[in-house]
This record gives sequence, structure tokens and C-alpha cells, in this order.
Amino acid sequence: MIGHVASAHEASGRVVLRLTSGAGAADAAFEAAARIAEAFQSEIEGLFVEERQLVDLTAYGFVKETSLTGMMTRPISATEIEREFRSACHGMRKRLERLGRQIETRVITTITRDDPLPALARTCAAAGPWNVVVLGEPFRARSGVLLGEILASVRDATGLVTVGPKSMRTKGPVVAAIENTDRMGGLVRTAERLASADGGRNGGVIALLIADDFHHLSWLETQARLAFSGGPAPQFFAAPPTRGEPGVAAEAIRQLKAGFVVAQFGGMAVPYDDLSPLSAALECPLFLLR
Amino acid sequence: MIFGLGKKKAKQGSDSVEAPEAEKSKAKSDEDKKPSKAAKSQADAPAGTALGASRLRRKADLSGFEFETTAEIEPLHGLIGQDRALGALQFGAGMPESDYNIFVLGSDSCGKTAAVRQTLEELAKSGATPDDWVYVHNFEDANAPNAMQLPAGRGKALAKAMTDVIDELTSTLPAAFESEDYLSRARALEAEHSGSHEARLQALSDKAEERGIAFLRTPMGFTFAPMLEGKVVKPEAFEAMPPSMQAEVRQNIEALQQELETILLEVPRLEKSKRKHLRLLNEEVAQYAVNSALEEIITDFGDIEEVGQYLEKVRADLVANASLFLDEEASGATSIVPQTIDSSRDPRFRRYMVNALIAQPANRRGAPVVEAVNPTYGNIIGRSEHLAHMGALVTDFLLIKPGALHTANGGYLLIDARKLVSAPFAWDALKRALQTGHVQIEHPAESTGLVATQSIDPEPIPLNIKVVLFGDRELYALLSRADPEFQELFKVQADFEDTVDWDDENLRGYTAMIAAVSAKHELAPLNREAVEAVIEQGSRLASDRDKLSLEVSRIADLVREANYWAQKAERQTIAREDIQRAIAEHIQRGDRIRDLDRETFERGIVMVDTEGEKVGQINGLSVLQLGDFMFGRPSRITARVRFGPGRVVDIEREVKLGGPLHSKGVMILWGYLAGTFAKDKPLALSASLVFEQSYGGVDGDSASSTELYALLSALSGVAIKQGFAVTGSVNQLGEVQAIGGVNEKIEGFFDICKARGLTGEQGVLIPKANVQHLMLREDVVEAVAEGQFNVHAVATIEEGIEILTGKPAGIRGADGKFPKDTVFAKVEDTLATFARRAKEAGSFDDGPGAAGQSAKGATS
Repeated sequence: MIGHVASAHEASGRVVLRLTSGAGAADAAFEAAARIAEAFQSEIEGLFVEERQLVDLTAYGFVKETSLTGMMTRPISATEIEREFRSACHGMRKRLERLGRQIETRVITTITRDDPLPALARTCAAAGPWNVVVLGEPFRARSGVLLGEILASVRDATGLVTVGPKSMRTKGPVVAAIENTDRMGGLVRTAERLASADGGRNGGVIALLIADDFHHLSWLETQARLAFSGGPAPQFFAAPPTRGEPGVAAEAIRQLKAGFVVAQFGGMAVPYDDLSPLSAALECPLFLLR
Repeated sequence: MIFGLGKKKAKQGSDSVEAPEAEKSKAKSDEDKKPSKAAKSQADAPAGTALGASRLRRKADLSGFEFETTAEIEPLHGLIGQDRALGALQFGAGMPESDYNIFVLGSDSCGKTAAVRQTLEELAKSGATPDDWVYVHNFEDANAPNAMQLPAGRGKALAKAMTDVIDELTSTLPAAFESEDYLSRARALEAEHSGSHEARLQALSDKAEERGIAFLRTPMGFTFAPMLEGKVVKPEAFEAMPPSMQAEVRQNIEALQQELETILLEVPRLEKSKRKHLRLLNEEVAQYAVNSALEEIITDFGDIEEVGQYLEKVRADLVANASLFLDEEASGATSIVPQTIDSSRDPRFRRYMVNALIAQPANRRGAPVVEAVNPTYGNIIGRSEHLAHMGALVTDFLLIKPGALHTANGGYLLIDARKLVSAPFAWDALKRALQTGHVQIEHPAESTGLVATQSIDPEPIPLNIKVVLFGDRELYALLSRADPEFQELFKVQADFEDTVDWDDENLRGYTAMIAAVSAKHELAPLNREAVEAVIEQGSRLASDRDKLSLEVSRIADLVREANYWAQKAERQTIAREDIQRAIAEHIQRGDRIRDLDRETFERGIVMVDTEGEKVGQINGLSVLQLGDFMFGRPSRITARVRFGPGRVVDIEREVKLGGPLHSKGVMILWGYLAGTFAKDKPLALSASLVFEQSYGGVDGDSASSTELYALLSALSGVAIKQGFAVTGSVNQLGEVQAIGGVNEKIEGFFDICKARGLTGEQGVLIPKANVQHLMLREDVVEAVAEGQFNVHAVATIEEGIEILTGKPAGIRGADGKFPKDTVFAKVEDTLATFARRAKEAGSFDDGPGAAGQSAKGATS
């Protein structure tokens, strides 16, 4: 896992930026991919998935496509969808190449026609275990299930990066959202590695401690300080007790004006089910460690 | 060569050459000392023409003044003898009307600039201190900056205060927009608008899902498709479904698509609503920060109505454009090393800066007196400078620079008129400003359309100014003649005198002026004899023994140079010999050409006789001027006569080397000859006159008497003594008239004679009217006193010809004839012979005659 890579001070891995034909990719996702690639000296593989089911739809004579503005509705044809795929793919390839030149990193582009999830799993498997998946499209309030499916299905990935609808900032401290001691080391080391990509100029690492109540929070802080007492420690910041309310953790993340958030999936910061508080508060990319 | 130079200065009066009684006795004493040769020369001369040494140079005598050195004298404040000019200046300065500007006339070195400045500065002390003027951005029209008037000393304060406001806002505005209060409200707005949109799309998706329809994104939009167990149904599977089910799916998709279109079409409206609410929120937040930043400046400057109105516009603009302050990259907020923000350099904030165009110093009291040293268009009117930006030249109100009209507004502007009219566009621009009463900055090239750059049209600034032009009389006359608007705008002329009378009162003033020079330049004091020497030099500069030159700067130069020589001689006070040394050294520094010229005489290259007698040959005198140095030199003039058709050939004119005044003088000769010798017979004379070895232009009529003497000698056959040189113009009646440069001319001939050896029979004939101008060098005076040289003052041709020939001129007797053996009798005989021959030949013409023309007008 990437956390392990970071802990072992290894420099390897690949960033797989998944771009689907059915959704627009966010700039923050590209920038997140670049930052991780810089931090881990890895290459970037742009995976453009032409969604098979969209091609299948062209066989229906009655299925129509409504434009993003709602001003135009027309029958969807195989020729038209092929043209749209090519156009979207060409645009994304250009963005990737530009990104690669900017950060002086090798960029590979892969185009496949499949369903998005199997395509991603297959690509990661082909590249080895040290992959980080970056999703091009922003997550939504109900994307928790999808994120869970990706983490479950794509075994050859150590982490998953996604952005929210308001994620626009990539400069700022790297916040490690710590909810228990088990994952603390990996989260902080990953955050430190990400922060090192820009020499710490954007604020270094903040360890955001998240717990249900004061008692647990106090205990967590003590443990965290003990864990890092022997070396350079991150800056600690305790979120208010969540009392089971996911919006509290999301708000604490927002207030720190992070440039990147590293968290575990399925906790209070990034719950499985409802991501709506986080999607409203998250202003930067989110790195979910497996 | 310049004949008659200084004629303007020469007085043509009937001044008596009789010396005052005291001088007469001294002159007699001088004459008593003359040796025998001089006595012989004097004996040949008509009584009273020879001038004694005392008449050749006026000595200053300050023995009646109680001082030993100028250190004891109260220095002069101002000028002497300039009451008329200074009165005019006071009048012009006091006239409130804008067209009563002043033109100061006078020679360059008369000290008029310093005197005018001193006078105006005195007047300005009691004048009102002018207001400050600033240019600010015009929020309605950026290309027409507004001018604002503020009480003196507050312009810079306003500029500083505005800079402080912007500096403050660069911190407070971003802070306000990063505050939790703002962010939460912005998020709420965002959620309210985009949330509803998202929610509706989500609801539509849910609705589709309930109906077994998949809601999908395509690269270019959205679509719906039949769905079964969460996956899109393959077409072949759909075809296998019952037709009724297929129809239902189609209807559902149709309905959902219509609903989708409705939702999407509402997006622009929602966006517009969101933007509006966000703008209102932004304005509310910005208003708070802006009001706080402007509070102090409004308190400080709210008493000035115009500034108050301006600040209200600033407030509105800041609120509307608060986003200018939120660009973190540009503000340097994210820089590794925090940088001090210079608001005036940040292009985003220039519109809020204030250009303190005219900011009076805090300690200024009274009106300004400004001298435009380099009166170009831009320096007079002001200019808007340009900056290169992306290959184009751009400007704005902060690049407006004041001109002299701005800095002197409310006071006095002093300009050298010659420089002003020489500078392109400057004169017209000044007139335009005075006529309109406003100073309007515009690029001169704009009117020509030659330069295509961004330009601005600043609001004109009202003008309340008195312009003082400095120039000479020639320029004044030229402007008066050539520009009708000049007299309209410059109604006052302050005419500075060049000289002042040599009398006791002015001597006291002159002495005080010399003391002032010494004090101003921190020189050693002058003793009495040195002051006397300066006064004598002042008279010499005036070319008039009864006047003193008011060329203050030349007098000051003389005293300063004398101070140098006094220091060299390790004297604590400047003595007469230092003054003399300074004069001599000054001449020596500038007389290289004179030395070269003298050498040509000494080596016989230029032929001039200073001894012996010759018929039809005489020495004329001319003056050369090089800068401020003048010197005289003799020229040989010859005349040849013969029987002919009645004409005098002026060879100088024939070859176009003679100027009109010279030609006029030659023509007068004909009148004199005809009137004196040919009243009853034709003038059958053909004569030629020439300046020998003259290769340059000749003008002026100061040689006309000389030419007449040569002609009379040629006609009479009576030789002229070559030891004499002659100057003076003549009229048709034979009266010798004053000329200019008499001192230099005498000295020029004296120097040649001295180089060859003074004989005691040499001398110069000058017009009687020029005696009053004699201020000869002391060595000339000494030579005359010792009988080695002579100066004769003659009033008529008859007097002159007698001195030159040693023979009587002759007075027509009762029989109408000149006495035998007189010069005129011989002339008349010759002319009678010519007339007889002409009558015999039948070819004469006795027309009016003309130099260089026959009586019939035919030229030879």
C-alpha cells in the first residue's frame, strides 16, 4: 500500500487517473494526480474508459441524448457517440500531456472500452500492486457506495484519491484525519510525503484528531503525541467531538483550509453511506488509504 | 568689417567740444608738454580741433566719498537707474487682469533677471499661497482625469491617505472575504442554489430508478435507458420484452427526458439568481471593510466638498470592485518572503491613487516665483508621460507631470522669450493658456495625428498667473510685428536702461553696486582707486564719457576677475592695478584674431601707410567685433577720378560687398560735390572708390567722410598725410557726423602706429560729436599727452581736409570763386576742366548722379 511505501521511504508506484467518457473531469483531480506523482516519484497513467453501456444504448432507436444546457435533445447514434468519445479522449490526453510536461513526469495514456470498474481493476492489476487510483469525476453525496466498490474491487491499489464538487484548492497544509491509533502512522507518513513534494512551503502536515467525545479525543491526542515523541511530529489539531455527526468532522477539515486531506474510508470523516457533509465542505482532494 | 558700428549709441547732437574750465586748464597743461613735432602738427590744424589728453578719457574721482574700501559701503539692493523698468514691473505685477503680462526688455548683461526676480519675490511674500492641485481618476470616464483643488499643503496628505486606505484594504478586504461569517453565508447561498439543482437531478435519478430507467451521463449530456437489476438492459433483451412493457418504458423515458429538460433549462436562471445574491453579499461585506478604511480620510478631508464627493465615488467603486483585492497571487500573500505592497505600483489599485500635481511645501508662505529654465512645450504646459506595455505606450492620470504654468500658478512665471519662441509649440501653448485662463495638458503630436498612443484628456486647471518674458528689444519688436496676440497678452513692457548718467548720485549707486558684487561673491573689498577704475571701465563699456554702463554682469565679471588677480598678488583688497590687469587679461584672452590682424600690417601684407603723403589715398577705420571684444583696424581707401559721364563708382557696391548704408554714404558724396562745386555746370566726373584689400562685407556710413577726403584729394591733386586715419560720416552739406566705436577705432590705428613707431605727426580725425564718447585706453591718452599721437575732432569737411593736407580748404569769395591755391579751388578747376571737355565732346550728362549709376541709370 502507498502508506507502506511512504512508511518504508520507498519511491515507486503508479498513479492511475481514471477518466470516464460519461463525466467531466475536475481540474483538482489532475492536480492531485500530479502532486502524488511528484511526492512518490511515480509515473501517471491516464486511463480513459469508453463506457460500453453508452455504446450499447445506440442500438435503441428511442433513446435520446439531452445536452448539458437542456437546450437540445437528439437521438443517440453509434457514429455520434464514437465521435464524442474521440473528442473527449483527445481533450483529456492533451491535459495529461501538459501536466506531464509541467511536473516533468512520464505520462501514459490508455484507452479502453469497458465498464469503468472492471477497466480500472484490470489496468491496476497490469501495473502491479503499488497503484494509487485518482478518480477524475467529483464524488457526490451518494458516492460512498461507489468508492467502497472501487476499494473492494480494485485490489491492486493502495489508495484512492477523489475530489468533491467544491474541491479547487491544492495549496495548503496536508491534513491527516486520524480517528484511531491503528492507521495513524500510515496516514501521517503519507501526509508528510505529500507535503514534502513542495518542500513544506504550503503549511506542512496537520494531524486532525477526530473522536466522538472529549474522553476519546483526549486519549487519542495522548497516544498521537506519544507515537511521534521520538521524531519530528506533525502539528496536532483536535476537532470538536463529533457525537456521531459526520458534518462535524467535515467542517473541521474545511476550517483547516487544507491543500490535501488524507483519511481512511469508512470512518467519521469519510463515512460509507452519506458523503453529503463532506461534499459540501471538502475544498481540496481527498486521499483515501485502504 | 563693420563700419558705423555702435551708431545707435552715438549721440548726434551739437555737443560742444569745449572742455569744462578745470579740464581746459589741465588740457592746456598737457598740451604744454608736447614736443616740437606735435607742436608742428597742431600748428597745421584748424584752431580747436586737436584734443588734449584730458578730453580723451574721463577719470573717476571719488575723493569726495568717505570710504577706504567697499567693505565700508552698504551694498546696493536692487539696481540703479532702472526706475522706469521697475515701476513698470510693479504696475504689471499689480494689475489683476490676465492680459497684463510683462515683457522685460534690456541687454543680456544688465542684471534684469536678478532684479526682476528680487522685485517679484518681494511682492510674492505678501501674495496668497496658492492652493494644491491633484489629479484623480474619473470613475465615469477614465480618459478624462478630474482635477481637484485643495488648500495649500493638503494635496500630498490626500495622496498619502489614499495610499494608506488601499494598503489597509489589501489586508482587510481579503480578511473579510475569508471570515467565517462570509464563508458560511456564501456556502449557504451556494447550497441554496446549486443544492436545489443537484437535488432535483438526484430526485429525477431516483424517480427513473424507481421506474426501472437508468439515468446516465454521456460525454456531451444526459440520457435515459432501460434498466434491470441496476444494469442497462441489452437491446436484444429489451426486444424480447412484451410490447406493452416496451411501450411503457418508452413513455417513461419520454416523460423523464421532458422533466430533465425543464430542470436543465432552469440552471441559467438559478445561476443568475445565485450571482445576484452573491453580489449583494459581497457588497455588504466589502462595504463594511471599505467604510472602515475610509472613515479616517473622510474625517480629515470631508471639509472639502469636492474631495468628499470624490471619496463617495471611491467608496462605490471599491465596493463594486472588491474582487481586485482578492487576487492572492498578485498581492504577494503567498510569496515565500512577504513583500511590502506598494499600492501605487500595483496596476489594480492605480485608479484609487492621487496624483499630487501641485503640492505646496508645508513651509511655503506667499506666491511662487518660478523661472522656466528650459521652456519647452512639456515643461511649460505639463505632460502626460507614457509607459510601454505589451508593445504599446499607455498612460493614465498618475503619469501627468506638471509644467511651469502649474508650479507658478497663483504667482509669477519667468521665461526667456527667445528660448520660448524657439521651442516648438511652446509659444502658442503659453498664449492659449493665457487666453483661455486654463492650462490644458495635451500631447502636441495629438493635434498633428503623427503619434498613435493611448492618450488622456485631463480636466483643465484654472490659471491665475503673471508671466514675465525676458528678451531684447529686437525680439520685442519682432513679436510685436509678427504676432498680433503678443501685444494683447503682454501689455506691460519693462524697459531696462543700458546706461545711466555719470553724476554724483549715480556714482554713489554704482559704488554700492560694486560693493554688492563684492559681498555677493564674497570677494576681497575694493579700495577707492579700484572702484574708480571700475567706474571708468563702466563708462568705457557705455562708449560714453558721460554715461556708466548698467551691464551688471560684465561689471561683476570684471570685479571677480580682479579679485582673482588680487589673490595672485596676495593682496587683501582689490587695487586699481588688479582691475587693469583683469581688463588686460580679458582682452588678451580674446584678442588672438586682433593679433593676427595686426601682424598682417606689421609684415606689410595689408598695406596701410602711416607716414608720408599721397594723392587720392587715405586711411579709413573700421571695427571688428568678436563676442564681447571689439577692436578697430585701419583700411586703405583710394579714389581715382577722370573725365566721364557723371558717376561715382563704389566698387564695394559693384561687387556686392557694400551694404545699403555704405552705398547711401557714397551717394551723399555726389550730393556734396555737386552742391559745392557744380551748381552751374555739369559734373562730368567719373570717379571710383575702393576699400583696398577688403575681402568681406562693408556697411555703415562712418567712412563716407573718409571717402570724400580721398575724392577731394584726387580731384585737387593735393596729397593727404598718411599719418592720419579718419572716421566719420558726412552729410550733403559737408558736416561731419557722429559714428560708433570711436574708441576702438582710435586705438586700432594707434596700435599700428605704435608698432611702427610713433612719430608725433600721426593721429585720428573723429567727428566733433564723438568727443563725448571718448574713453580711450590710458596708453593712448599718455601718448597724446606726450605729443606722440593726435586726436582731432572736426565738425566739417573743410576742417578735416585742412588737417589732412596742411592746406586751407578755401572759402568761396564774393566773386563766387575759391581763393587760389586752396584745395577747393583746385577741385573746382579740375571739375571745370572735365565739364568743358564734356561739353566739347557733347556727351556729358548732369543728372543727379548716383554712386554706381550713370545719370541715365545705366550701370557700367
